[in-house]
Amino acid sequence: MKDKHRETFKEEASELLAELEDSLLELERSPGDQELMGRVFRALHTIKGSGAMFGFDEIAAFTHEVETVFDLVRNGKVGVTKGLVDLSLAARDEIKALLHGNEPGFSERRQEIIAAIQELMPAPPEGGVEDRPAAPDFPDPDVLPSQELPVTYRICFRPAAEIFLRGTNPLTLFKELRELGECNVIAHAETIPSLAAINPEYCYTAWDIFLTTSRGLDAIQDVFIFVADESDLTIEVIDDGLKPEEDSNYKRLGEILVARGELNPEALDEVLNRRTLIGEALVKANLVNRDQVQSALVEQQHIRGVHKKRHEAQATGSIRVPSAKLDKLVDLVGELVTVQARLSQTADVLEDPQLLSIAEEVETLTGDLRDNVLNIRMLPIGTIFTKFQRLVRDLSAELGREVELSTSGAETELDKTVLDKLNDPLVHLIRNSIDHGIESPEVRVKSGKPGKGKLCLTAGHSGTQVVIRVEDDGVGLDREAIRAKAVGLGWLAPDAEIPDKELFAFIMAPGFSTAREITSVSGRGVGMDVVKKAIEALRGSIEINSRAGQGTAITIKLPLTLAIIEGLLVTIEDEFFVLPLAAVTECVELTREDVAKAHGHNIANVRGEIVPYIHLRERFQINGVPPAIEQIVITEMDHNRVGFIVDNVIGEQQTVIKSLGRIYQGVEGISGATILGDGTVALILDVPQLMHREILEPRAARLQGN
Amino acid sequence: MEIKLAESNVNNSVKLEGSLTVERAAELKSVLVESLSRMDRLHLVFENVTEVDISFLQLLCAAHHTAARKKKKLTLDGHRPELLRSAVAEAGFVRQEGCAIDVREICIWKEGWS
Repeated sequence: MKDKHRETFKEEASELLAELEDSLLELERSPGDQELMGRVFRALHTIKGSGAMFGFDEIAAFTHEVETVFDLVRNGKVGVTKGLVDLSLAARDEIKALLHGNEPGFSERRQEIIAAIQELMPAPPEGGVEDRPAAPDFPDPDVLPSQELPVTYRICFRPAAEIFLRGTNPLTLFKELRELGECNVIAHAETIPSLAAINPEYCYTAWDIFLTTSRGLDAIQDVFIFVADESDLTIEVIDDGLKPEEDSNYKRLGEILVARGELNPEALDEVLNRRTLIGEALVKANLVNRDQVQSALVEQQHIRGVHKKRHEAQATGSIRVPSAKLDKLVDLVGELVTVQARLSQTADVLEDPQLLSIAEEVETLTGDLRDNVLNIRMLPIGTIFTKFQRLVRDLSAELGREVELSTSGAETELDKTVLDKLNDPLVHLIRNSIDHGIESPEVRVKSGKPGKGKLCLTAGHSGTQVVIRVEDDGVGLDREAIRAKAVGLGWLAPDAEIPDKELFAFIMAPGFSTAREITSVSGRGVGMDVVKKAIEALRGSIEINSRAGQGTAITIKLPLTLAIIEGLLVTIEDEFFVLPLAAVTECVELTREDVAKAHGHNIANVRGEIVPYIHLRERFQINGVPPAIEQIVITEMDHNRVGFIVDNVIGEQQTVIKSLGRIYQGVEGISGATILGDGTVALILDVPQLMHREILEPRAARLQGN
Repeated sequence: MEIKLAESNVNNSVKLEGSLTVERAAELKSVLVESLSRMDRLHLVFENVTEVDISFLQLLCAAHHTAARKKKKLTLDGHRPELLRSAVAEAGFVRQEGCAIDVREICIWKEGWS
């Protein structure tokens, strides 16, 4: 049992460490940000506290030292410097190592960190702190939101009659209270006299204020600090934020009035026995006035609101589930989708209306279930983006660059499996950008650019794909060097004209470079083939754009999910194939005459547009005689339209992707397989790969040959 | 200072403009007293209001008391400047029920403030 708790602690601590890292990096950028200081402190505090609770004593002891300095930072006694952030990041790494059971016991590194941190602590009251930023603008420490639970207060405020004349406007006070938290104000106006009697410059009104805040009593008293002496002011806690939910109905109206001492319980009982609306009845009985009832009503509503919110917060909370369980769930849904397809097929064959309607319902439900389950596994790409802040910081320090990383589209969601596998390629691309793309500050300034380089990570949706872009404003790729290299390798005719996009694609080809050479030649390409492979394994594509001296942009396109896709089922002879529906634009017929008109070229005329096609029967060497009228399934990717010739188009099919066995994994043109309703296996065509191999590459070769 | 008394007895309206605060409270009071003594039905119209504070809300309340006692009618125009509306809401004057004096249920704080 304890192990389980320790595991939970480890998971939580990992998250806290990630948060700590983010906050530290942000803090470095805005050293005066009190909220960030608070976040850092709280993360450390929680790690220390729960570490000690679950027996991670070393973590607790070590974290305590770092926490201490941040307590001082929080109180404005120690300034935020690069040195402090460096140390804290190093400490964070140490905590991480400890968490994973590395280097337990005495560690010199940790001692060093502690010693260095202690040096940062102020010895004399002023000075003693190195390179403290010139008077960082610390806001009032009171502004720091505390971690405490929100407490609800009833504030009874009866100002002196001359309050207006002394220049106080109660509206300003209420405004300040509203800034502390959710606030309801109710005026007691019963005491306002008639026009004849009123002194228009006096205050006759008193107020009940209900305020829910986590800032504590002091913050409230501060608001009234200038009027407290001459006013009646009572502040009471009416909900401490801890009470169990059983009182979510809060007190009844009568009880509130009794609790305030405005009504005695006996009188309440007596009136209650008359069984009318309590507020109305009490007013009629002259026990309280309408303002008091109104105020009690507001209090009731306020507290109910607070309880409701608390309840909602609990209800919308998340639970932690091991991702293996989700994978299992997705597998099961995959099986279910397959069985459902069989059910639908059987129902079609049997033509039993009752069974058909059941099958239809099952189909709808399965579809919803599938979407929901897949959605559970979607994670925002921001979860890996944030990790890169640290990477960029460390790399640029190491390589003597100044780089500013900006990210956008962090909320874009991707399947967790895809996301996990995306990390390494992205790290590689970022490393390349900083190492070979972005120049050193001196070089940049000389060429008229700002000394600080820019690196942008963007993500967004485009149809059924997610597009991720890594963009820098560095030197760009050296076109001529790549060209020379390609010609040297015999991949390109010396005089061939080739679009930049295709030329740059060479650097992703295996064997184009060995590491050292390429660094000096093009400044790119170290392991780009590995990146390309990783992206292709995710059924994605990668493209490079670059302008000399202006920078490089690498665009990665990925499918939303890896598990289940909408497919188009087709047949050739008695073989089934599936094309990803997202790539399909239309289906047209291809007659013998059409083929004859093309004079042996594999091209079709689709409403005046020439579309090259791939004869799948030939491509996969399937024996037999094609039907008189074949079908062209026209697909489109990156503005290239390519047709696929098949015998028959059967229709849409929810396709659960099964990976192929190890022996078949290298087969080109096939990206996976699926099981159809009747148990038959259908192969899933790798449309982008076929397109490249069969159409685009030969075309490029022809161009080069000319 | 622009408190205009509309001449027309048809609609009995008094237009209040500019700053409605404690600095002008005495002046505003006399306008209300005078108008209520002259008219049985007083309709207050707000235009170009630049400032409102609690002293003015109290005056409205007091005027309503007086009107209720004298069996006269005090109404506020439906067009209420944002400044006035927010002051009424923030000062907690909005009511679901009128006060004890409001026997004829003409409380000015019940409707039109949201």
